[in-house]
Amino acid sequence: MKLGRPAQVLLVEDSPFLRYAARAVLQRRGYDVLEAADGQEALDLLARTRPDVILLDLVMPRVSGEEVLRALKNNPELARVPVVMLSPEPDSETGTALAGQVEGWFDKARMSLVHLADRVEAVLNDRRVA
Amino acid sequence: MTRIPAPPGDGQRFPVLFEHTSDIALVVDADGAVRDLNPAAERLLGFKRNDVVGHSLLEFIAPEHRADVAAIPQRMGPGAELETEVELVSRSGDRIVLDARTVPVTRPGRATEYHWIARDRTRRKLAEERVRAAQDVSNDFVAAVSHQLRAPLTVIKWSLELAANTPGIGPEVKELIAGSQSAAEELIRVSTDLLNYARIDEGDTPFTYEQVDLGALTWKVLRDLRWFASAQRHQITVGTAGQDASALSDPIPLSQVMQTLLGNAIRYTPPGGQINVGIMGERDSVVWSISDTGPGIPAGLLERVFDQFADVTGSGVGLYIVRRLVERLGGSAWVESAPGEGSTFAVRIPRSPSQVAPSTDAEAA
Repeated sequence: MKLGRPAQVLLVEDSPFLRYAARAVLQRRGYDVLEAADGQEALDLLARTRPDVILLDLVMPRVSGEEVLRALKNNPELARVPVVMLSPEPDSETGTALAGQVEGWFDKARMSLVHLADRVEAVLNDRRVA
Repeated sequence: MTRIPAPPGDGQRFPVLFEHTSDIALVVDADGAVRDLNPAAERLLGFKRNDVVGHSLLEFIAPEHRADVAAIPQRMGPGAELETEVELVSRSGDRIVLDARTVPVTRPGRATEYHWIARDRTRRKLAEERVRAAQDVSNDFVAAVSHQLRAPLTVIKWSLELAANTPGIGPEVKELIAGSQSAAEELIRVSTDLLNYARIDEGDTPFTYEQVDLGALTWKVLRDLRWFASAQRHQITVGTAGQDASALSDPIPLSQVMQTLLGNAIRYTPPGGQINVGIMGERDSVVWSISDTGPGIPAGLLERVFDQFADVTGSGVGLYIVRRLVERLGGSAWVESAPGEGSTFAVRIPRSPSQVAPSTDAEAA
């Protein structure tokens, strides 16, 4: 995390309400929240900014989370930005393909908003230590 | 090779049966040529007797089955009689699936004959395929519906969470929100169960085996359930004993099993309860168990608790999925419980998938 400014979270999620709710909780914790409504918007934002953590939905219109992830990993500037997938951990095949590329999986339906903010905090703390 | 002696009367003991049975009867000589056939075989093949007799049986067999059929005499062991599934091709080109029994018949001074008795199971096979296809469609439908439900359910759940944290709301509103929250949780759980249920019979998602530490996995699952457990004010402990708790297994179904059993314990134990997870490393397997101070399970239900739709909690498939997953991983699941004395659910996971699973019954207490 860069010193002197709040950590920046990029929230990529196609449901407007879920973005609203997540932003409300993350801002309350003091994070700077950027929003993208699909993968294409995320890629546009990532062309000019490097967030501290990315929360990325898997299934989205236009450009999917998987494609965003691939673009991130192919970009040396962004390859090390931690990504938490906003999706339940998929079956073995896809899960294995993406394992190691993501910080973890976050099943929105099962988890609370407090838990989401905790998760962001934990990921940022890990990075600070590392 | 033992040969069945020819019946007396040169095989003509039951001419009426041969002529009138709806099963197919064929006589084939040692060279594979058809010597005789009954009217049922004529009807099925669409050929007249004279068009078949003298021809090689293989002419009427589907090409990919010919080698198998040609090898039947060699494949017959002592005691003779061989049951096979073969496909014939009728005159009109239709495939006919048969359950066939071949009986070698030896007469003194003559080469062995092969008597074929076969039953048409084309219709049954088609019906079975249709049932399977219908099951696939219904599983896909259940999976699609429960998947579609999750997005709006998440909106409801997160809205209620935001509402519950709004400053200045009165105790009555708080109660209403709490009630809605637990209903939303229940709906999400049912949709998760149904999604897992629809997927469990998909044989095409093979497990990915890796070295899994069941203790570390337990903590990971618990971390996700922590907020839920603390809302219920339960004490949760995790204890390990015996040898190390690692197994060559698939962490995804394993964590699904732990989530269900931990979730059930948290949900059905009255607030302020005690939940103990025990992990016991044995020589060839690791036993993972969970005990609670919940209401316990009545004896009548105990035996059926892992059966499909017998689980009275939630969607009725949660524990069924647990058992199926554990069995697919080569292990077993069981429960000990009495009303008023809590429940202990346990699963045995083999140290490696090749190890033979102990039977579920042998573990029942």
